[in-house]
This record gives sequence, C-alpha cells and structure tokens, in this order.
Amino acid sequence: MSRTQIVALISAITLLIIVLELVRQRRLREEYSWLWLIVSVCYLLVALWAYPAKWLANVIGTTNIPLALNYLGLQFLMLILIQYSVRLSKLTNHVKALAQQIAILDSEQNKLMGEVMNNNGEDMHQDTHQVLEQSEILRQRIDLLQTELNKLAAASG
Amino acid sequence: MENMNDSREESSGIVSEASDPRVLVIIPAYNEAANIARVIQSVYKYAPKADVLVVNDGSRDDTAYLAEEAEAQVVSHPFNMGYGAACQTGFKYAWRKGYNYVIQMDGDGQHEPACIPDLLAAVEDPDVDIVLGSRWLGVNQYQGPILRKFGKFYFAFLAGLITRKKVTDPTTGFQALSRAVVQFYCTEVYPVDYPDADMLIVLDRAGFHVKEVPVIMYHNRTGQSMHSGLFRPMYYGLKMMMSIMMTLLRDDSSFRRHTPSPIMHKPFGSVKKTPSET
Repeated sequence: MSRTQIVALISAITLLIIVLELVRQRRLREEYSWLWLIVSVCYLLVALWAYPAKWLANVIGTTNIPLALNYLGLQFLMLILIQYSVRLSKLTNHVKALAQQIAILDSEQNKLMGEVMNNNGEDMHQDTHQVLEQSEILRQRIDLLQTELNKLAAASG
Repeated sequence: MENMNDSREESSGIVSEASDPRVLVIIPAYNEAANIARVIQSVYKYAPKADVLVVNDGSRDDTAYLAEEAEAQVVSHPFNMGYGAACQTGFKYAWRKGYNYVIQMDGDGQHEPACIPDLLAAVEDPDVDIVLGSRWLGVNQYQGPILRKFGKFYFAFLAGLITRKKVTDPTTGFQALSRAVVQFYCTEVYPVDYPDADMLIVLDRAGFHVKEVPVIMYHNRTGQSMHSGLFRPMYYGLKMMMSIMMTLLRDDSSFRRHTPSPIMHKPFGSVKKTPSET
C-alpha cells in the first residue's frame, strides 16, 4: 500500500464518519446527506482499489489517473453546488410567502387592535354619561331635601 | 363582546351587495413618501367606492405613515422584496378579503387615477378576465428613453406573436384584474422579481381573456426606474428571453388554476361569485 493510498484511505474514512455523525446528531438532514455519502463512498472505493480510477481514466480518454480523479471530484462539487442553488431558490420562495403572510396578518391585527381600543373608548364614554346623569339626579334630590329642611326649619321657628 | 363582533364583521366587509362589487386599488410602494399621499387622494377622488391598499415594500421613509394618514389600508413587508412580491402581497390580501376586482397601479404618480373608471368598466365585462392599461393606445403623454421603448416594443411583438393576440403594452403596471386572475396570481406562477411580457403568455396558456384599454401615463419625474442604468436593461432583456422560453417549455399542468397557498386557502368572509368562476 503506497503512502498516497494510505492518506486517501484515512481522508475517505474521516469524511464518511463526519457525514454519518452529523446525520446521527441531526445537524445534517438526511435529504442533504445522500450526495455527501455518495462522495465519501466513491472516495473510499478509489482509495482502496486502483481499478475504479483506471477505469474512469479510460472512460474520459486519458492515461493520467490524477486528472481522472480531479475530474470526478469537480463533477461532484458542481452537483452539490447546484443542489444548494435549488435549495436556496426554494428557501427564497418560502421566505417571500412567510413575509407576505406576516405583513397581511400584521395589518389585520393592527386593525383589530384599533377597533378594540375604540370600543373601550366608547364604553368609557357611555359610563361617564351614566355617572353624570346619576349625579344630576342626586343633585336634584339634594336640592329638594334642602328646601324641605328649610321649610321644616322655618315651621319650627 | 357582541359589540366587538359586530364591528369586526362590518370592517371586514362581509356584506357585499350584488349590485355593488367590492374593488381594491393596490399600490405597491417603495420609498414613495414624496408622491404616495397625492396618489391616494387622487384615487379616492376618481373611485370613491374603492378601497385603497398600499403595499409598503420595506421602505426606509415615511411611506407607510403617510399612506395611513391618507386613509389607505397599509400592509408592510418586513424587508424589501421587489415589485412582483409587493404586487402579489396585494393580490393575496384582496383574495383573502373577498374583493371582486383589483386595480393595480404605481405609487409614483406615473399612472393617472382618472383612468380607473375605464379599467373597471372593462373588467366588469364577464368575458374579460384582465384589463391592461396601455400607454400606446390613443392619447399619450409618455415619452420614455428610446432604448427602453425599443425593448418594450420588441417584447410586445414577441408576446403578440406567441399568443396570436395584439397587445401594445404588455409591461404596463396599470391593470384591472378579476377575482379569478387574482386567485391565479396568488400561486407560484407569479414571478418574484417583476411581472412582464412573459405573464401575457402565462395568462394566455391558463385560458384567461386579456383586453387592452388606453390610459394616460406620465414619464416618471422623481423616482428611479426599475430598469435604469447600463447593466440592468441588459439583464432585463436576457431575463425576459429566458422567462419567455421557459414559459413555452413548461407543460399545461403548471398553468392549472388552483387555490393559493395552504394557510391562505379560506377567504375572509363570504364572497360573491364572479361570472368567470362559475
């Protein structure tokens, strides 16, 4: 086993463990993890056997194995980046829908709050009216009693 | 408690008379403090029965406050999301509140509110689903930059070629929409950035009837156009070409009319059915 192979093997296993561990800890969602898993498994295969890399080099028409590996890595990175763009577009749409809904609900809530405040104001207004009316009636009664008292005082001398 | 319920029903306008369709004028606005109050007053002058909704698209000036002072309803985005998103917020609001017709116009004073009755009269025809206010039909005082004029004519020509209908001004932001189109626009068919000539093809494929009516438009004096500068017109042209191509490549299922997003599925209050819905 060559030195390069050992380094590649260690890197591949580390990558695989990191991806699996992130999924286990729920820090990476399964839907995002499958591309990374494929990448790490391919990496592992290429590190273990020379044959897949040679076969790939043959397919793309070169005898340069490092070039073939670079090509493979680049393809995977591009796929992952496209996946990110798709997710980003989806998230953008979700953020837009949420912001719109918040804006509409907020305006509705403001309106309802305004109405509740106004209603309280009206109630208070009515209460004040009632209190004023009652105090007026009481005042008249006091006046009547006062006159009665005066009359009694006059009669008693 | 009873008292409160009553006033809520009243304010959400559940009562809709058959002879008196409810109309909402939607004005998407971004930093329009200079013009918004004047525009709202003018709208109320020419369409006294209509409600006005200003969609404040994350403005950094007093647009929302001034619009409220001018007695418009205001919905404020938490951040700036662009012209298309602002229009769609308005459509979602109109759909939710059960409005029968929607007028869409700009808040910078470019569109003449005196033309609203013309647009409304045209959209109230049961055979028409959406009415576009055209600056090129009849009298116009609009004189835009020559390059923009050329671009707009080119896309109008292209859209006309594809839909086989003559449309002079597909990029207009001055429109009248029936409830069926409002519902259609509440779904993801509506573009996030800015709706344009490609929407005409979308409408055509969804089977809506489009009509054009001449309106008066003024050249934008104060505000900055969405398409000004050197690179933005180029981006606009490329984006339009791509949108039109993609619209043509999609299959019919993506233009099916369906009910808008999950939580918005129930309109607020009972709604009179428009002829195009039945």
